[in-house]
Amino acid sequence: MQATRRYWEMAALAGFLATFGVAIDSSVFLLGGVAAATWLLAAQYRFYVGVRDVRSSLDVTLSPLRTQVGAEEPFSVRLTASASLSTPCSVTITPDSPVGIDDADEWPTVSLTPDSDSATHVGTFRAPIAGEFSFDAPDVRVEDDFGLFAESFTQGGGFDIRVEPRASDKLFVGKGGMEISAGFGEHESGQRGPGVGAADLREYMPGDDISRIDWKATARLNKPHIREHDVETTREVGLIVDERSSMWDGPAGRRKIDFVREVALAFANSAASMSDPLGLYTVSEDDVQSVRASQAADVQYATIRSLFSAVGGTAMTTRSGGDDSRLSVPERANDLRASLDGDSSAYARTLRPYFQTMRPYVEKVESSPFFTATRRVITDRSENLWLVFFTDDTHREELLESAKFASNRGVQLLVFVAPTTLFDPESTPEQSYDAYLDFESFRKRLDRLTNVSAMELSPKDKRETLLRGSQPVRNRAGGSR
Amino acid sequence: MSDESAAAGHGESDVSSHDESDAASRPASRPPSRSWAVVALAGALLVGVTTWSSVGLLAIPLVGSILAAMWFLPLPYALGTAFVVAAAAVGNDAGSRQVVGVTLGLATLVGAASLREGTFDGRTVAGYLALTAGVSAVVVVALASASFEAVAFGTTLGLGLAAYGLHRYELVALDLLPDS
Repeated sequence: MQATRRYWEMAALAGFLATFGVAIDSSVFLLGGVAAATWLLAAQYRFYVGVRDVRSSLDVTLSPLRTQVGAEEPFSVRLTASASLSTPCSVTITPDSPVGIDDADEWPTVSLTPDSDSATHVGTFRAPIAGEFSFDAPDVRVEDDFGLFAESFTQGGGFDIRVEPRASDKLFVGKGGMEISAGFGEHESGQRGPGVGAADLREYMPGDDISRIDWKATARLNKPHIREHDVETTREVGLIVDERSSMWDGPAGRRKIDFVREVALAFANSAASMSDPLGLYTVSEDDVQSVRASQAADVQYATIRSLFSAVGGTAMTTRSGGDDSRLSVPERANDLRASLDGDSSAYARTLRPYFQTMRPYVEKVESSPFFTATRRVITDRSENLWLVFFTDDTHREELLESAKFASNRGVQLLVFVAPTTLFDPESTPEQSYDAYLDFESFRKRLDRLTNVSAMELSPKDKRETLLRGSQPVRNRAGGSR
Repeated sequence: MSDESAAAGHGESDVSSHDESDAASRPASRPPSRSWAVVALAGALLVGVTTWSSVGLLAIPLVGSILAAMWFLPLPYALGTAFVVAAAAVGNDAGSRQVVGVTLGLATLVGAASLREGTFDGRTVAGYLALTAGVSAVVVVALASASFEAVAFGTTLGLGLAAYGLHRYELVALDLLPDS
């Protein structure tokens, strides 16, 4: 029990009256001091009764909405408090976040009075570093209505929360839990013949070019042998990027479209290094846009790379306030070409042919934009087309039909599909895990199609947090799921 | 920060904040008690009747000024003012019965002020008046057989020990002793 300044003022008055009574030999003043002192004594007993009521009836619960989060990932903590207050006092409850946890906002003080005896707050926190953190029981402070006394103590329970470190590489690309580490686009032709890289030896057959005989192998094996080499080939790469609203889920910088951008950029770089023809198509809510028709020109690679590198997503679209206005590359090329007209400098003469040879086109379709984009790319394809989808699992039927369409026409298809549940900050661990299982089932279904390889594209830290956090759930469920 | 429903809908991304009081579980606000007026009237009558023999009709403005002090001033100043005015009215030659009457009358007015402010309930005020009457009686009895200084010292010491004892009892009874 802490006495406040007001208490000491009253105590000083009682002492003054008693002392003054002694000084002038007046029993009235002495009894006046007695009246003041007994009033303090009564107030003190009253406060004791109030604190006793609070101690016995106050129910404080501090609980996290999730017990396992990733570093830098915001998480919510709920504080509920209720008490049956019969005495006029105020109760303030102040939770304290542990060192290493940042309050997204300053945690407010929860107050209870006899007229308002329950309250709930949800606070948002963020841990910049990984580790185990303990939220202690909240501090409770009781003050009497007259402001004479105060008492502080802790009540209720705290909780522990585990903050998982962010993975060194935030991007997970793989299938069935196996992460791929090879660079994208290092493709093989699957054909044997004359080339640079040695592949295999085979016995000489009539009709083979005699210049292809490997004389060292022939001397070693006593029979003429021919060394096969991998045939070098170019492969047309068609990228179809889903830009519909579901691809913008998640916090800025960790949206699906941000992850897609990283992988698509790797494809653009790989295609450039191998001089593969590269085309780019984007799919919005109701149309398909061929941003770049397939070409193997340097300006093509540079333009597509600059689009992917641009801030805020693929930059094939510029989004502001939900507006789906588009800034297309053909338009930009036309602007550049117009600006070069009438310029007779050596610089303009050098650049002009590049823009004059470009024949971009824009085509809009009425329905099922992803399927339409797929059909469009395959119709215009070269013999050796490698089609790459970047999308999520929101439009599953459409994606599946598009993949079947490509598969039935013998097109090599690589699908990068982002699980929506790993970009949803609202789902509980149990919900996320079930949704992830459903996603994985869908991905496997895609992966089983002929010529189709389906990869998961997700934030590595959230994925690992989900799988680790779901371990007890799986154990409780009676084994692995 | 966000309220519970917002958290359920938006999780950590929502950063707005406000209190959420459970209106359904609130007890109805207690109607303001008028008992303090009755207690204040009793205290004023007690002071007036006790000082009537000393000051006559001046007891009316005396009680009025004490009531005004109790109404407008903070309790410590009101109590100090009331005792100074009462002491000036009855003087040093007042009998013990008159002194105890004035003290109890003023204590009743203090109790009425506490009731009006809602800091005390009726039982606490009754306990306070009983305590004041008891200690005053002990003081009057003690003054008959001991020096004024000794009685004042003993009273102060006794009340101080009572307050400290209650403080220690609270710490032990409510398990509030710090871990050390």
